[in-house]
Amino acid sequence: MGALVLDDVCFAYEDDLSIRRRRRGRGAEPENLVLKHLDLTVADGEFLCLVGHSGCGKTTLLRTLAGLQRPTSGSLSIDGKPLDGPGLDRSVVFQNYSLFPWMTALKNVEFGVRQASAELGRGLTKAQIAEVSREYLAKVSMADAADLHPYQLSGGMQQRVAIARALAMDTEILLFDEPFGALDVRTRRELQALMNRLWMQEDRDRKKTAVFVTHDIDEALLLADRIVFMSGGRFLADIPVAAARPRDPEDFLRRPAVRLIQDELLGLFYDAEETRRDRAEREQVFGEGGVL
Amino acid sequence: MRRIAVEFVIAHVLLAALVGVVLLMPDARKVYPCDAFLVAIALIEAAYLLALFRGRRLKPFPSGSSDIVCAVWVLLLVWEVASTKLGVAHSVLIPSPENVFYVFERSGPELWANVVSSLELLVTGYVLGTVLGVFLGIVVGWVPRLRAMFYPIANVLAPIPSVIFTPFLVILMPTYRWAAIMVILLGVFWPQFLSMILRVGSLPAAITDNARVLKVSNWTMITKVILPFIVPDVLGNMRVSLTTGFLMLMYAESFGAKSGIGYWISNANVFANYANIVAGVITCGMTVTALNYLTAWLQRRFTTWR
Ligand SMILES: Nc1ncnc2c1ncn2[C@@H]1O[C@H](COP(=O)(O)OP(=O)(O)OP(=O)(O)O)[C@@H](O)[C@H]1O
Ligand SMILES: [Mg+2]
Repeated sequence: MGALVLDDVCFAYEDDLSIRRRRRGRGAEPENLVLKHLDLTVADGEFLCLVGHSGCGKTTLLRTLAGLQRPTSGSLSIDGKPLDGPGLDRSVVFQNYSLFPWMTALKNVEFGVRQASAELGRGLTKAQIAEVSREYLAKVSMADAADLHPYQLSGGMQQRVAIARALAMDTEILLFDEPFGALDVRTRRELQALMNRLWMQEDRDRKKTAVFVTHDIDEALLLADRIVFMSGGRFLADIPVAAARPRDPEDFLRRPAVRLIQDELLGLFYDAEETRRDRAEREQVFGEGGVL
Repeated sequence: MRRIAVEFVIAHVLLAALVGVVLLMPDARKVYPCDAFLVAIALIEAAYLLALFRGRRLKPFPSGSSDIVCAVWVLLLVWEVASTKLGVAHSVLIPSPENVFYVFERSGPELWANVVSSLELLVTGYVLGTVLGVFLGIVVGWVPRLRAMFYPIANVLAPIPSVIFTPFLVILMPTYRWAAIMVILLGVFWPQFLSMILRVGSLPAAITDNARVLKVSNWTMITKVILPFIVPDVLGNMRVSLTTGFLMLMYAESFGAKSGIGYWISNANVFANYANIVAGVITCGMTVTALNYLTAWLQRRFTTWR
């Protein structure tokens, strides 16, 4: 279980002025939409990667999915139930700062597991919570760092712990916002391999739904069942990546079929800028909605 | 290592000189017996050795303590020679060290009772002020509307020294002691309160988001997120406001008090008993130092994460 549906979702960061203006009825729609009429269905157990250049609204979308903000219009639902605010059917890994600095790695994971257990009525005992937490820390090779505080961990290690927490919470849906964005290439590869392995293991038990934001094309190719390209608050492309895991970067990224997708995405990245400019011009002439 | 050994030797040469002067040089003034003074010297030396060898290997010599103890020996030496031995210092304003330390021997229990009485006032006012400041600061800092209302008000009230309210407090409070406690409480409360409002308001959005996606209850939010976040600041403020609290205590004890170390000093002042005054000042110094160590220890103990 864990199918995510977006229906005509719009979002605008509104200041008081634009809200007041809208209340007075001037302009039915806020002019500064960051998410523009998004429709999307993420199937249960699907690993969806969201790519797009900086500022296209990926974080905004993910925060909306996490329930941290409400869509300005449109609706979101999980398994048919409307999404209303944060919930422990989802766990989130942010680009940084996912951990509480005053808790050790283990305590951070335990905190998440305890919250999930209490909220979902799993009734785990203290010992069970500790056991699950240690188990997942071990899975991300952080067993030795269990008693260290985040300031004692490198960025990569912190993200490992954050991933361990998200997985240990055993939620149906996982949301990742550029979790490896601030890491060097090698560490990133390591963590991508780790995600691949973890997903294989999870696959065996029960598939989890994931929405993973990144602007690294290779990363998306290595991880995703499906890649959605986003630009200027709209989805421009929706590309399935049907391939078994684990995907070895050396081999997988060189396959002709994969190279094709890579080129397509690369093209989108470069075109998006132009397309955006074109659309802005078109909208000036024809008004909003001048189709792509 | 060599430098430290040199300092160590110098400190002990000075010590020998001091003891030699005290015991062997003829007095120019009539003073009380010198045994209390010698005991004080022995205690300082013991504290010095303790600081040097603090249960560890000889390696981490805190060279600061050698410098400090050398300065203390020089000071005592000059004081002793100028007052007792040569009699060149003003005989009333600068009492002999023998006489000053004799006060501890003669009036030790009385001094101790005064310290206890002072500590009662200080600790009550200080703890109440800190707890109230932290608690109200969290509530006001966390609720935007309360913050918008109270922060400007607090900014106006906080800089007013609490001693100004003394006349009102003396009338409003049931006893003198509670008036004194209120003066200390107010002196400690405002800085803590203001700092908590700012600190809670500065809780990074990343941390609150993180707590929100984990769906923490209000209670968990306060105990597991806000409290740990502000603890380092609370302890930092506690160290600073200890000085404020002590100042307020000294002030409060200088009017209407019947006991306390501040009372002891101002009482001795009335009788121009300068030996008692100096003994009182030394007692104050030791008390503040002890409290400082305590708060510093608390700060180290509970600030483990940054
Ligand atoms: N808190 C905010 N208030 C107002 N505007 C915002 C806010 N956060 C983001 N925006 C705007 O919304 C747009 C989308 O931002 P968003 O953070 O979603 O981009 P992103 O795709 O995540 O970019 P990146 O890859 O750099 O993280 C940007 O134009 C940005 O200026
Ligand atoms: Mg982003």
